[in-house]
Parts: sequence; C-alpha cells; structure tokens
Amino acid sequence: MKANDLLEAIGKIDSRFIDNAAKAKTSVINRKSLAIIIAAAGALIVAAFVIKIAIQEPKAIETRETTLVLEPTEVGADTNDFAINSSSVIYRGTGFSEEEIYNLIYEDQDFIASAIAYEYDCFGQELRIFLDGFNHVTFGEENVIDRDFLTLPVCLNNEVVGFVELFKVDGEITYSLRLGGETWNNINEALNYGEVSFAYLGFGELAIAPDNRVFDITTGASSLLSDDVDWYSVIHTDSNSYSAENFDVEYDRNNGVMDTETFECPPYISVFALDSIYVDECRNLISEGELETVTNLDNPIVRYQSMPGNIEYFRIVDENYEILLGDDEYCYSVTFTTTADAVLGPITYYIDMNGTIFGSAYRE
Amino acid sequence: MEDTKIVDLYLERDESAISHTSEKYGKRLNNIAQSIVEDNFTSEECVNDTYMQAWNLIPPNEPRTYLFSFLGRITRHIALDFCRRKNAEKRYANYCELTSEIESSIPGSLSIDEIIDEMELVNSINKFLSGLTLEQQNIFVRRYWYFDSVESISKRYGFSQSKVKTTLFRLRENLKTHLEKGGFGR
Repeated sequence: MKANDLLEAIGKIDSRFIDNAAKAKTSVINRKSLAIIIAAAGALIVAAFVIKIAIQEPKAIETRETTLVLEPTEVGADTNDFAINSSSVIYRGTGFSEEEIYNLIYEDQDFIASAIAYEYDCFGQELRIFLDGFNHVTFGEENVIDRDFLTLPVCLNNEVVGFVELFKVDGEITYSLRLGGETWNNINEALNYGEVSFAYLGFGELAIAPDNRVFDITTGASSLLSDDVDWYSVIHTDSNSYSAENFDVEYDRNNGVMDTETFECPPYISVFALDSIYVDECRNLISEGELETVTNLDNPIVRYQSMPGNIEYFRIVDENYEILLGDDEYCYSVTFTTTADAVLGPITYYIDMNGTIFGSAYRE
Repeated sequence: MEDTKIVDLYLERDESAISHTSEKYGKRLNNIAQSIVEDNFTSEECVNDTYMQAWNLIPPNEPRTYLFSFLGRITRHIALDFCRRKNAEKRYANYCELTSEIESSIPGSLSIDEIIDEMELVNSINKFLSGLTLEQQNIFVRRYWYFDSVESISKRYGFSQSKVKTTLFRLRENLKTHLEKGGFGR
C-alpha cells in the first residue's frame, strides 16, 4: 500500500526531528494570563530594544538577494492565456459563497478581533476584516488556484496587519489567523506599488507588482524579474490579486494618498476589539441583575467611541473613581440587543481604559 | 537510567535492559502503538514485540543518542504492519484516516517498490523537513510520526484545530510537490 509505505518512510526520518517534536510543548493559558504575559513581554522587548539602541553602533542595512526560480516561458499568442512554465493556470475546489464568508466572520468577529488586539495591542481601535478575499496561484508543474483557500485581509489604521485564512475541506469551513512577524510590513510595502498578484512558490509567498517587481512577503526580499515575461499579467486574475485601494491602504504613489471619494470599497466587517473578559463581565452584570429577562447575550456590538455626556448614561462606579479615557476622550461601549424587553431599547455598558465598567446607557 | 547505560545493558546481553527500557519508554511507545491499533491488548503486544526486536537489533546497532526514536521506529513499523495485515478483516479508523491523509502527498505514479530505494525517499523527506519552520516540523512529526490526533496537537502547542488542519494540508501538498521535484513520480 503506497500510503503505508510513505508512513513507514516517515518513520525513519532523522531522530532530531522526533526529539524536537517530543520536547516542544506549550501550556494552555487563559486570555487574562495571555494579556499579562504579552504586556510583560512587550515591556521587556521595548526595554531590550532601548538598551540595544543605546549600546550598538548604527548598522548598515543588509540587502538580501532573492532566490526566485521563476523560469521565463513562452506565453501563447492568445493574450487571455495566462500560462506559466508552459502550463495553464487551473482552478480547483468549490469556493465560498458570500453568505458563508459573512456568517463565519460575523459569528467569530469578537474572537478574531481579540486575537488581533492581543497581538498588536489595539483594543478599541477599528479593525476591518474584508470579506472579498483572494486566492493564491501555486506554481508547480500545474499552476493551481485553489478556490477552497481564501485569504481575507485585516486592516488596522489603513495597513494590512493580518490575514484570516478560510479553508474548506470535505465541505466544512474552518479558518486560521495569521498575525505577527514582519510579513505585514512586506505586504504593505508591496501594496505601495498599487495592485499586486499573489502566488505561492515552494514555501515562499510572493506578491508581484505590475512592474514585475516581486516581493517575498515572508523575508521581505524583493527584486525585479526579467522583462522577458510580464509576470504580473501572466498570473493576474480577479481571484488572486488585490490592490491598495481594495485594502483601503494608504499608499504613496504619484498622487499621494488615494482619493477616498471615488473608490468603492469591497465589503468588510468593522470590529472593535475589546478584551472578551470585559464583555463577559457585561454579560454577568446583565445575568446577575434585574435584566435577566434579556436572553440575547450573544454577539454584542463593541465600539470605541467618544465619552457619553453626563445625561446620556447612568454611572455605576463610585463617584470617587476616576474614569480613565483613551485618546480623544474615548471609551469602549458594549451593546446587547434585547428580545424580551426590546421596547426599552438595547443595553449598553461603558468601559474605560482600565477595563472598568463605569456606566450604562439609559434605556427608555 | 540514562539511554547510554540502557544500551550498554543490551550490548552486555543483560535482560534487565528490557525492564529499564519499559520503565523509561514503555508508556510513550504504548501511546504510539495505541494511536494506530486502537486497542490496549494489541498495543501492548506491539510494545512487547518492540522490546524483542530491540534485543535482536542491539547489537549491532548502538543507539546511545537516539534510543527513543530507535524504539519508536520499531513500534511504528510493527503497529503499521499489524494494521496492514489486519485491515482486510477490521477497519482501523485512525490508520485509515492517516493513510488517507498521507495518500494525498504521494505523487501520481509513485510506486515505491519498483522505482525507488526507500532510503532515498527517507532522505528526501528529511530534506523536506529541514526546509520547514520548527513549528511546521513539529506539527508534521507529531501527526505522522507520533500519530497524534489533530486535537491533541492543537492542545500541545496551543493552536486552534483549524490552524493545525490547515498547516497539515499545506504540508502534505508541499511534500507532494517536493517528492515530485525529487523525481519520485511522473
């Protein structure tokens, strides 16, 4: 049996791989601990960075050569034929419906936003998860666009900061988050060139700009490909390309920052990350209080908003408590829609930068 | 007892080598076998056979620095062989799942018996693993060497199950491409 033979062969791999896998283990930690660890680690990194700057001489920027192995190929006379390495791009998979994408992101938006917020310490800031994603071309003997892999970009402050990668197997949709590292700087740099097409090459991920400049988005290396082949056009299709305008990314081309009046943005879900612990505390307040008839506790709307006026909310905390507001006098709000007593309107709690629930909106 | 001392006992033909091996690695070996054969009695048999084979293979082998992987390979082989022989009589869910998964990494016309020497294939897989990040390596090895479930891997490393599934899917695709490029197919 072929598969069994391959499993047998894997059984004989170098023992260092086996030892590594035996040693590596991470313990499961809860989110509150995670936040503390991240905060502590962040402080250490900043401290280390400051010390490093203090003790090191300025260092020349190292440049790296890419090791792209794209081979020039003869593209057919038919301009619609986007052949690579003499093989056409073929499609695989069934893809995702707009409804599937929306439902998945909508249902998990709090978790996704929280995960991103932990990574970038951007609680309360607006995150945009674009629902109009892109596939990649995989170079190989066959050049494949797999419709069952869909990458949705996540933007924060007009920059791409992560990807939600949708993945369909046996009809079941799952997703993973790709956050952190230098990848995003590299993608944002590539998007300075406007539109790019994405491709996988071996384990590398490439973004190819219209001028044939290729960015290795994992390492940040970039180089110009030979003019023999217009690689951007060759692999450019609607489903594997994305533009700075699509991302709503600020980019600096001849005309500077794009004109937001004329551009049409693809659909996105706008979320404001708030530590889910605080959302849970809001839920507890509802459950433990007189509002237990409210049954709809799922999917609260979380916002980062200006401080409500004194007559707009009821103060919960002691009057001696000093409410800590964010930049521009902002605070968080968590709003639950209601069912049983909907006539009174939604329930909204206000939370300050300490994570303290300091007030609730009047309901009448 | 340190691995090197246990191996010395094997070399001296001291039967206590087996009890020391069992004491130190019995549980882990049993986990590997259990992941495949799915019943206690058979997995215990696999592990006992492992000790027997280790007794026969040391010497000439002297796995002082890789005793566990040496034993684990034997256990895997015995468990896989058991399932292969018995698969016609009984379907082993984990075994079927694993073989079905790894099937997708096999290039189109690969016929291992006819075309390649197994060591070349092993070398190619080693090379493939060397090109991965540590995280990818660990996920791959935990799944296809230790036969851990996706759930168990996700708990071990603190990843979501979807991340583990996605990573494995990509790794299988990449392994297939890697093997094709290495001449193991077409």
